[in-house]
This record gives sequence, C-alpha cells and structure tokens, in this order.
Amino acid sequence: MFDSELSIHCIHSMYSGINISQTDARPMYLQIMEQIRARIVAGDWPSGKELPSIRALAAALSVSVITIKRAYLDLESEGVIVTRHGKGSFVADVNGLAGELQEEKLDEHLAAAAGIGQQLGLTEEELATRLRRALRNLDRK
Amino acid sequence: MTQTKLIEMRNVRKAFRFFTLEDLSLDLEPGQIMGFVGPNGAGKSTTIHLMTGLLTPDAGEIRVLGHAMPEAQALAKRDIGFVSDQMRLFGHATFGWHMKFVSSIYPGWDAQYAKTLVKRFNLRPEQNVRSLSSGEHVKAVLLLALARRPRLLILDEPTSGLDPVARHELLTEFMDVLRHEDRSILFSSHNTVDVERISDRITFIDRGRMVDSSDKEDFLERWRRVQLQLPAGATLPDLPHIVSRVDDGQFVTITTNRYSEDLLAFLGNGVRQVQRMSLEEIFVANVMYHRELRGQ
Amino acid sequence: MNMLARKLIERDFYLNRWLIGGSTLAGIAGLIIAAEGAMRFNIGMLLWLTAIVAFSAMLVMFSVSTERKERALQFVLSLPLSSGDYVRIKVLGLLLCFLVPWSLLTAGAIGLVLVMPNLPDGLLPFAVLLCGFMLANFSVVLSGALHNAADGFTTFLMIVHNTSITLFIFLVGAMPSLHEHLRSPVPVWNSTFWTVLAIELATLVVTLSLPYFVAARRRDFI
Repeated sequence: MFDSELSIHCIHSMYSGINISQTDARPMYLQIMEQIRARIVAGDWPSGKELPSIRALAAALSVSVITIKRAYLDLESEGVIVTRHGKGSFVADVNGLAGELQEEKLDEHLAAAAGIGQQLGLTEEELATRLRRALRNLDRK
Repeated sequence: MTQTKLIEMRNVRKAFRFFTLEDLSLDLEPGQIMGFVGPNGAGKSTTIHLMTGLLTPDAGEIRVLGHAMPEAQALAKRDIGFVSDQMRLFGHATFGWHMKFVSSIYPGWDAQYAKTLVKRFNLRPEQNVRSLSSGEHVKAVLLLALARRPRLLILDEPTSGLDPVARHELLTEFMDVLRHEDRSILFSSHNTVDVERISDRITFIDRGRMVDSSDKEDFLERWRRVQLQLPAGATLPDLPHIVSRVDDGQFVTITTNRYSEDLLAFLGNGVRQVQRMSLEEIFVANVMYHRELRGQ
Repeated sequence: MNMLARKLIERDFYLNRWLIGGSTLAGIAGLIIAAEGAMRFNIGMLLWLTAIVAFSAMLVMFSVSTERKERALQFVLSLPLSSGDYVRIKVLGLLLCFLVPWSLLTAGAIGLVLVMPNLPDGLLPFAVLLCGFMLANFSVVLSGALHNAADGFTTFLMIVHNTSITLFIFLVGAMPSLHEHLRSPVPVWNSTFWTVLAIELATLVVTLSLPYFVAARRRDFI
C-alpha cells in the first residue's frame, strides 16, 4: 500500500481540497460522495485513476473508516467507481459518465424547482418563462 | 491479518457500594475505533479500569489482545497504550526524562515519530512535569503512548480540557493509527462531535448497563425526528419503534430508532419534516428511552 | 520487566538521594567521633544510632507521602507490570535504599569495635543484634506503611518504630546472658545471641513477604 509510507501530513495535503463539515445538514458519507463525484465530473480525477485507499482517505479527512467505506460502496453501486478486490478502487472507465452525472444533477434541480413552483402556485407557462429568463441571464454574463 | 478481537468482555459484573456494573459485553475488532459514550457515573471509567487490569471483575470474562485480564496484564500492557485524563506523570522529572524512561522500557518506541509529535503538540522536553498545565499534561501522556505505536489504545476522556487546536491535532494522530488495519482505539468521551466524526462503532452506557452498541452509520441512519401536522381530531395509528412523542396542538414530533421508507409511508400525508439526528441527540434520546424502559 | 524494575528502583534511589547521602555521612561522622573514646564514644554512637533510626523512619514516610501526592499510580500501573510486580518492586527498591547506609554503618560499627583497643570485642554480639534489630524495625514499618498508608496509621507506626529502639537497648541489653559478656575481650556467641538473631531474621522475612502476599490477593488497585 503506497499510502501507508507517506506521512499523515503528506496525505492531508494531498486531499486538503475535500472538506467534510459536521455542521452541514447532509450526512458525512454523502458529502464525501459529492466531492468525489465533482472531481470526477470536472475531470480532475480522470477515468482509471486510483482512488486513495479507504484507510488513507479516512486518515486524511479525519473521518471514520466506516464512513469512507460506505461512500465508496455507494459510489460503486452508482457505477462511478470500480473496486478491484485486493487492488483498490478506481474511477470508472465509462464514457459519458461525466455527462450522465451532470444530467442526473439537472433532473434533481428541475424537480426541486417544480416543487417550489407548485408551492407558489405557478402555472406551467409561468415556470417555463422563469427558466427562459434564467438562461438569458446566464448568456449575458 | 489476524482476526482476533482486541478486546472481548463477556457478561462482566463489578459491584461497588453505591454502583454496580452489570452484564457488560463488548467487542473491539482490529482496525476499528470505538466511541464509548455515557453520562457521568455511567461506568465508563470502571469499564476501562477493568480492561486495563486495575480492577478485577466479580463475574464474567475479559480478554484484551488475547490475554485474560487482570491475570495476564503485564503481558497485555506491553502493547496497550492506556491514557486517562486523571493520569499524572512523575512530578520530580522533566518530560524528556519520561520520554527516555518509556523508550527504554518499550521496544516499539519510534524516536522519529516522538520528535515529530513533540513539535506538533508544542511540548518541551526540558520542561518539568510539575509546571505543565493540565491540558499539556494530557498531551504529554498521550505522546508517550502514541510514540510507542501500541496495537491498542485505550483512552479515558483524552480530549477533555484541550483547546480546539490540540483536539484537532490529537484526532489527526488517532486517525493516523487507524491506517493500520490491525490497530484499534477505544475512547470514552463527552465530546459527541468528535465521537461522531471518527468512530466506527459506538457503545452507549448508562447506570452500569450497556444501552446500545452498533456501527456509527447504523445509528445515524436508524434515528430520525419526524414532525407531523395532524388535522383536527385525527390520531396517529399505533406505531412500533417510537422512542418518544411530543404533542403541541396539531403538531406532533416523534422520535424513532428504526426509521425506514415504510415507516414514512405509514405515517402518511401529515409528515412535514424528517430530520436526521446528531449523535448527541441520539445519545440523549436513547438514554432517556432506556431509563423509561427500566422504570427509572 | 527487569529493565522496568531496574528503572523504577533507580528512580527510588534518585528520589531519596539526599536522605541516603545525609544519613550515611551523619553515621560516619558519629563513628569518627566515637573513635575518640570515653565521652566522645557515647555522643558518637548516639549520632550513629540516630542517623540510622531517623533514616529508617524518614525513608518510609517520605516515600509514602510522595506517592500519595504525585498521583502517578495510574501511570505506573499502565506500564507492563502486574499489581504484584509493582508491590515487589516497591519493597525491593526501598529495601535497597535502606541497605546502602545500613550496611556501610553496620560495617563501620563492627570495624570500630574490632579496631579500637579501648572497645572490648565482647561488644560485638550486642552490636550485631542492634544492627539486625534496626533492619528488622525498618522492614516492619515499610511493610505496615505499604499495607495502609493512612496518616493515622503511619504516625502510629512511626511512634512504635522510634520507641522500640530504646526498648530494645534496655530490654535486650539488660539480658544477663548478653550483658555479662559485654566487657569481655573476646566475643561470646551464646544461645541467647542466636535466638535473638533468629527472631530478627524471621521478622525480616515475614514482614517483607507480607506485602507481596497481600497485594497478590488484592483485586482493586484504583
């Protein structure tokens, strides 16, 4: 295991961008999954890249091993990463995975918007108008 | 990798004049951190003293690192780092003397790591132990334990009285220990935030009895607070796994320790909000619930 | 364990270094004064006696009170030793601390009797018994204080310890079978001598093994 030879502070600095907050409403394992997914989607963690071992990441983030394990298991069931027994976990080599994840995210946001729209009592047309307005604002920026 | 549990307690009983530890069973697997949580006087220190051979049980079995306790404690303690916030070093000596003392007794002493920790914990070897603040004292004792790289760390309130920076440093070192899958830590603490963050398993103890013991993620998934708004005149159906219920007019807040999608469906349209619970909230609710069950 | 025992005993010596050194010097000074003979002999021997008896009492008192003040017991018990080991090491450590001045001063007193022409060798048996008594006296107090370190009890022990030396000198010194040979030029090792010596040895063995047996059965160390 290459990770165990590195000092704890070396590992810390490698993963210092990943921040787990205990005051965040979302559970720790979800935060970890999101941050890993974000890096994969952005391309910082390309297909085939080896993920840190569960224990190394746990030590780097000062988060329990069981939480990291859970995050990795769920990421694997989503198909985002692949675990090879005895070898480690790797970013899944699936084309268009980034795009898939982004589309899932879009659907989530749209569902939330639809829910709020309903609460406000907006009609389908009113909601669509607002979406178009948001797109135009993006273009201007 | 060895599969023997690092700590095994079976139906341990220890009676004192005003307090009895009853029927306590506990297991610590290798590569695991167990958080030991309970109110003051629940029996955490007593349990820890039983594990380290300072007390002899009245009934039951205790094995630590495979050794029967307290009979084989001299052997077991070679690979156990025991630190309690009540522990004090020899007043006449410097911290450096203690490092030499410990390093000469334990073959596993890592001098390089010790040097790193001295800097990280901001301690001075030439300083006399008597002049250390209580927080510095605890850090000193912890350093002496950590630098030996023992297989098992048993810690009784290791971060009590420490400033947030020191706590953060310590948690980092504890997690570093866990990079090895054959090393484990058992620590008792009132700091539920830290326990929630780094523990793999959590054991709750109250009034001499073990109340609950499970994986941390399991606790966090099973416990929920559900807020409902019931229309006038409606009543809730009889529900299993409801630990507590608070009524406030139309609004009802229930706490459950077995949350599931089915339960949510069962509760129907009145559900306004489902809240996760922090470990501290789970701890309090769990203890209160079990006291009620025991008629206390 | 042996390295650990050595380190802990070294620590005992270090903690008591002033007592050991001071009492040894005081005792030697007493012997030197006593060598001058006549009145100086009485003063010198009194100093020699006081040095050993006071050292005996202070060694135990100091160790017991230091232990209680320091609260380092939990730390020591976290080391790789059993509670029985701990008691054994304590007894051995303090005994060795006592033996250093005691054996030097005993040898000094015997040497003084043998060398000085004005001191009849008949004094030897009594001198040996006196030294043996002080060793046995120490082990009784050590054993008692290890068993019960409470203030009241240790004070009682000290009173017994300090007054018993006077009792010994008067009672045993007055025994006719010993007394009549004090001034003889040749030492007389009669049955009285051997009996008293045997009692002293037995006391030594019993009191020094007692803490160990008691500790071995003790279940709670905290």
